[in-house]
Amino acid sequence: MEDDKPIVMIIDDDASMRSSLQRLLLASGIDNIVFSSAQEFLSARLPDRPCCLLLDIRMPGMDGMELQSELVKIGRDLPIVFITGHGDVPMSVQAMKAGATNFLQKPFEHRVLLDAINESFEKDRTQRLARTQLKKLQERAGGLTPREQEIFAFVVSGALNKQIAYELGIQEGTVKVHRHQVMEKMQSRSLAELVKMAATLGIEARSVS
Amino acid sequence: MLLPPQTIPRIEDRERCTSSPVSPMSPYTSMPLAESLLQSNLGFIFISDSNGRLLRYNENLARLLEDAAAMGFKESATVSFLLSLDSELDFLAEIFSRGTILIEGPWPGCGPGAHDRIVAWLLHHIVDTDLCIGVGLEEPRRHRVETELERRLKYQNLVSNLSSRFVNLPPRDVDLEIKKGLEQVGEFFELERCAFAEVYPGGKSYQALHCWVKSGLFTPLSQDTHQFMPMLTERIRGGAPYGFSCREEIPGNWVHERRFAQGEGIQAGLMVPLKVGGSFLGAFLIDSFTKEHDWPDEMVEELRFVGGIFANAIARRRAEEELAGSEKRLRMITNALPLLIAYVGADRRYRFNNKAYEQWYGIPIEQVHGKTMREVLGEEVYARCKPYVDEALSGVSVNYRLELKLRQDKAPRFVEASYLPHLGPGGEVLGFYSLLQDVTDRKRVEMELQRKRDELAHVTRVATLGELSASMVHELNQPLAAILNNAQAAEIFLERDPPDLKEAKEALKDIVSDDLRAGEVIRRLRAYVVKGDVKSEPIQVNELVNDVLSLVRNDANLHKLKISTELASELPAVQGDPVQLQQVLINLLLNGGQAMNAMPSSGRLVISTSRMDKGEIKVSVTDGGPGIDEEFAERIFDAFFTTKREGMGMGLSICRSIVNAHGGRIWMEPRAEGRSTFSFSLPTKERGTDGRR
Repeated sequence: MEDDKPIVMIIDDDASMRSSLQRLLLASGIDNIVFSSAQEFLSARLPDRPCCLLLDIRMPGMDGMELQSELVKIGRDLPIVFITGHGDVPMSVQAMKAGATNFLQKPFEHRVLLDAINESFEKDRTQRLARTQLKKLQERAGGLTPREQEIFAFVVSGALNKQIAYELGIQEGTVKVHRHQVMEKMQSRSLAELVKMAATLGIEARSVS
Repeated sequence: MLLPPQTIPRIEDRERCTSSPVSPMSPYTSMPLAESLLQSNLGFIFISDSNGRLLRYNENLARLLEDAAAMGFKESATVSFLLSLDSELDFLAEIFSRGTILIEGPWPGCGPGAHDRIVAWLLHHIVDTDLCIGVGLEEPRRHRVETELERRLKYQNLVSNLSSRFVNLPPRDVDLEIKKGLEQVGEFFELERCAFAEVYPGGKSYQALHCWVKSGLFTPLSQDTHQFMPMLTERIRGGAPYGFSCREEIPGNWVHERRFAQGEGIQAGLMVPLKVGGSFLGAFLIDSFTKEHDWPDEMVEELRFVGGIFANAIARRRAEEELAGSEKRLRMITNALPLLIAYVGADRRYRFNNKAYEQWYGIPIEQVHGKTMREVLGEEVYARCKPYVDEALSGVSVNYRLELKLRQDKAPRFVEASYLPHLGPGGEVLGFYSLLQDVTDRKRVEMELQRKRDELAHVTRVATLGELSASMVHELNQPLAAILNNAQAAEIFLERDPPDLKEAKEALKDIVSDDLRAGEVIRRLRAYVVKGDVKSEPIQVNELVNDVLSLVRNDANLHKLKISTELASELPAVQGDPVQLQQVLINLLLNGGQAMNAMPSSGRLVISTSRMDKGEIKVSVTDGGPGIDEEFAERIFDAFFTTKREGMGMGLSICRSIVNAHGGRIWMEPRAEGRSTFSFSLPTKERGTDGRR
């Protein structure tokens, strides 16, 4: 599907760099959009496709590093491939720590570029997947009743039904029914999976006293 | 009734009744005298025109004519009637040619009684007119009238004499002329003592400024002391004359005055107040010792008039002295200032110059005064100042700065000038004030400062020679990276089946333009490095070393870098561009300094100069750094080769270009103990350019 075809966002203030990168990516069959500044990128509506950023570190106005921190701040941490004209070792470490995928020094061979881009695409795909997953789980968890939420929390702590019943002051049979409901609603096939779901959702296990 | 025909008047010339020589300009025949005579009752006075018609006559004559008219005489208002003449035309012509004629009568039985009394007619031509004046003299008053006429004449003479004395008189001569004038006054009025005194405003005493006494017979009034005369002084200031005919007349309460008169032996005295400068501050003081004296009003009036002439002269002198004094003060001030100060009139002539002009122009101020600006400044300088002078004379203040060569034999000076127009009460431009300041020294300092700034900029430029600025690197990187991208893209397009030629062409187009861009960057880099024109002049290498040291001294101190020199003496000169050679030396020093930075020990940089064989001069920089491996010895001068972590490696290659261009060589001599020495050689004239290039 077209939706799924990844796309590169090129952000560079230098016109000839922009056009040469575009040409190279085009030749390699990779879709791309160009922006001449970080601001332009931030104010644009992005397509809902896997993507990565091809970002020049040194730009007038908001530079590459600043854009990276801005994206983290607004929760859009797209994978970034930095391109730079300087062998800035400390800068690259900093960039990587902040979540950049790659750090390329100009001039670079196109193989190197493509690898970096593909790596980024993978990363983005993974991220997008994870996000979608999370959304699904959240929807499911949203359908749990308060009692079911309680049971969920106890169950993933490894407590027995008997224990849970005692804790809550209800019949063991009732616990069983609730447990079954939770498994159904969460579409979990095993306790282990449920535990993983809980972790993903950020739900803390409750242990019986 | 007609005139008796048998009377033929005897016409006699008669000399003037004064002892002064006949002259057409004599006041005797002037209008003022004629006027004054008309006002008097001295005999019968008339003025007639050249046709003998009476134009004016005095009262006496008026009555006589009235009588004649009453008696039935027609046309009595004519000369012919009065003189009982048949024809007067010839007669009048005589008057006009001779000036004065006395016609003796009598003319008995000629007319009414009064007419009979006239025994003679004195006729005068009034100068500069076609009028004549006639004076009819009657016995027994004839003598008296004649005397009176004479006196009047003398008076007129005196007045005109005195007036002309003080015309255009320089202040220092005024006193002498007053003295002479007083003598004349004394003689005319037949005085014994006459003094010109001055009262001090608010004071009660006066001081005799000048005094005349009749031929040493009497003592003059003391000119040194102030005579304390309160009452008299007050009278003077009041403006009313005072006279006493005998001592007893002096009022009882005029104590001082009485005592004074007594002491001096004054029998009669007269005080005539005179205006000096607008108020009654002066007076004629006339004393009579030998007899009591009446002071007729007429005399007082005449003295007042004459006194006025003296008072004017004194007032004028005071004003001029005041002016001279203030001018003196002005000069004192302006001469003390280190400026050229002048006042130039609207006619472009100097009216005032201060002493500084003498020093500048080398001519005394008196010679400047009154000359035009063009004359004083000279054609060339004036031509440059003229536009500003014109502007000032149009009423606009103007400032300018020029370099002017004011004297042929002197160097040009930098001058800062202000012209301030001087406006009269109606707004017209009367002239302008000129203020000039010599700012040559200040300008020199400014220029020196600018030179140092340029030098500093140059040094800064050279200092960054070894390490290209980051932006330069970036600027080269951009086109290079773009070129690579485009080339690779073109490859891919050409490998397609079928090859995408269109895209490949586009890629190649971009490659070309990026390449050109890169070339621009390189060109700019070169221009940055080489400063201005390349000169060729003889250079003393030791001096070059010292110049460089003075430039980098500050920075060396900052980095705690010690630099010492070992300079050979009496080296011959080399030919070249001092700026470029300085660049080389600075670069070597920089490299040496940086090398030493990396070492903990504090060594020193040593610059040495020496002679080599073949007449070359060697300059070496030895540093205490870690040294450079021998294997790099050659490559180190190549462009883009560097052992430094951050460095483009441009410095030494440029040094090599410069040294080679000067006909020399540059090389590295690694020494023991891990030091390194960079040296370059330069040819001298000694061995010439025998194929060395």
